[in-house]
Amino acid sequence: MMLSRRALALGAVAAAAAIPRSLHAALPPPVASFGPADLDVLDALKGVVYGPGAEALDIRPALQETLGFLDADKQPVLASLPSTFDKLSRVLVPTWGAYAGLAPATQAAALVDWLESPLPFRRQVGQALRQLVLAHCYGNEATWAQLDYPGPWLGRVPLAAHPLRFGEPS
Amino acid sequence: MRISGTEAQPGLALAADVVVVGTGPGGASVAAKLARAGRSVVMVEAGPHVPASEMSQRESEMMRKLYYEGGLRTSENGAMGVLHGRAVGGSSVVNYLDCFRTPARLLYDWQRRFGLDELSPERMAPRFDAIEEVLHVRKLDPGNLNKNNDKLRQGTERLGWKGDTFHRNAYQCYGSGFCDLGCSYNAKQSAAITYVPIATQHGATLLTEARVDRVDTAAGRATGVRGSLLGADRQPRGEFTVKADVVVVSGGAIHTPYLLLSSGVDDPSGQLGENFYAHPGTPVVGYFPGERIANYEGIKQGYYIGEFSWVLHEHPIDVLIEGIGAPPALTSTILPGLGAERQAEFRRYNHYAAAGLLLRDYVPGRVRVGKGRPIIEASLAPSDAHRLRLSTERAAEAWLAAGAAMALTAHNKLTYFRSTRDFRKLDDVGWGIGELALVCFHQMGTARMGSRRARCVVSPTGRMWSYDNLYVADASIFPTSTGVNPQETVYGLADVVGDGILDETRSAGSP
Repeated sequence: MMLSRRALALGAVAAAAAIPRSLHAALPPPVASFGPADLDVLDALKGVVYGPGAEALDIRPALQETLGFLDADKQPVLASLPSTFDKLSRVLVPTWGAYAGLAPATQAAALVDWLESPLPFRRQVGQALRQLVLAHCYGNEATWAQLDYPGPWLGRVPLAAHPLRFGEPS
Repeated sequence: MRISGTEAQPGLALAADVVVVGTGPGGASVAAKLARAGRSVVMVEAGPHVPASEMSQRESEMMRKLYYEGGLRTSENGAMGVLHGRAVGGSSVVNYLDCFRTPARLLYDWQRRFGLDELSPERMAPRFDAIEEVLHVRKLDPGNLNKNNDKLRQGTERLGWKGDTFHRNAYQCYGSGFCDLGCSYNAKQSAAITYVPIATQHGATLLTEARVDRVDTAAGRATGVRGSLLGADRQPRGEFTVKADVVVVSGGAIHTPYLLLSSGVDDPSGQLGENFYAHPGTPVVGYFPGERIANYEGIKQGYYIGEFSWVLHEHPIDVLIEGIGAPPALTSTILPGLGAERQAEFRRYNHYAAAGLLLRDYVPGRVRVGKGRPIIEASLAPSDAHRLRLSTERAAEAWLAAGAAMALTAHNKLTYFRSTRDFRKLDDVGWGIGELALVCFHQMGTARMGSRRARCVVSPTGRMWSYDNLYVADASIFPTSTGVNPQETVYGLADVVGDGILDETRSAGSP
């Protein structure tokens, strides 16, 4: 299970932090997990942003794990982001019904509506979810072969056979 | 001696001549200097000690171990990612090893505007000589540039711009390219394997996984610190205290002001937490369809364009353009697009070269106290955004000159240039929140140093004005952003602070 924490830093929590204070006040008490409906939304987004082959990638456990590394008071905000996206999409896009149940083309159109919104808050939420899902997909070793990315040296590159690039006498 | 907060008895009470909060370049070097001088020293570090044998080169594991919030931290408004280390050695464990002596032009600026007369290039030179000896700083041979950085060099030279290879604090580096995840080979000469061991070899105690929550003060003096021992889950499991004659806060430009503000210390300047600088940056990618670039292979950061730097060459754009490499997950989040189209584009991954923009920000943010955590207020001011646009154009120009088929920005709206005429496309994209990938690695300036107590948080020796024995030694004392990678400047100013402590507290009965 490979995630890019750095990548997530570019947006995931950003959107959580960008939620207006009135929304903060309405949030449930701290929980460090995504609910089933939230994970359904994220799974649906996975199909939209990753594309072909998304169904073979199980990113749910990694997403849950990610939450635990935030400051405690940020965790419930990020955990509620998928449902916030889902519910507001029904009003703002609008979509008709739960995001996870929409046709793929409608799901994609709804996400684009967020990403290209004139409102910074909506753009940030859309980007945060997009980046969150992508980072978890490409953090997964199963996706590396299509990129021809070999992964860590350890266990792959024997140092004895590798020249020092920047050697100095001791 | 090392004590782990995960194992120490709750209620742990230590005493020393000096307690140093934080073990990044500032804290570690001050601790080493004072320990060498015979002071008893306790270093307190919130993060763990992570030896090379535990550096797995795997992003998920190492980001969790080595970065604050596992690398998830952002400014409060979401405008930029904020990355900094949380381990023994601080951010020196996860940086790209770039070393710049504080540029003379910057030192003169600090002298003129902040009365820091001691910080002349001539007086700082012997300090840097000594620091570079400890850190084993050497200039990278151009023959050791990876393809990504060599392309940047080619473009720079074809345009007749000034550029150079970095000086790096490495010893026997294999160029594995995982520097940002900690060095698996102990080649990176971080504070964790240089100054921290020097301190402990001279009798200092290192307390890890222990978060300082408060600096105790009474009658114009700091009396010590108190905080929480942390469990393996990073949650508090008990309290600890350290009584000391001198307190040095070296938690970095985010946690230093947070700790001091939380502790209610007196700051006559009112500037504590203000003047937060960060070198906001964004990548610019060059696409080389016929060549395998693999920007993640070899020494990721080896070459920079200095042409447009004010501190190096008096250029008004005031940016450094540095070669960078990025693993797949990070790259995937930067490139725009969705679904099959995005996936097809991303198959070009090994043909992407990348440069990072290190913008010298002029309009600062601030750090304030939130509910149990620091709140970072920072975003890109319009004037800084304008210079970021000009910087983007210069980086793209370098890639095109190097033979790239096109250059791409990190905007959410796909933005690419096949020639310099395409730069007009930048008229149609924004630079605000959620419009491009913006990240900062260098946090500076929230407890600035200077000669006037009405304007600056600490004195020219790093002492808080209202206290006889409370010092700050980290990047928070920078009066402005540096415009170059700040690691060596942190060591240099910490060396000044260390000498100040030895001079000013000698009468307290210490050697």
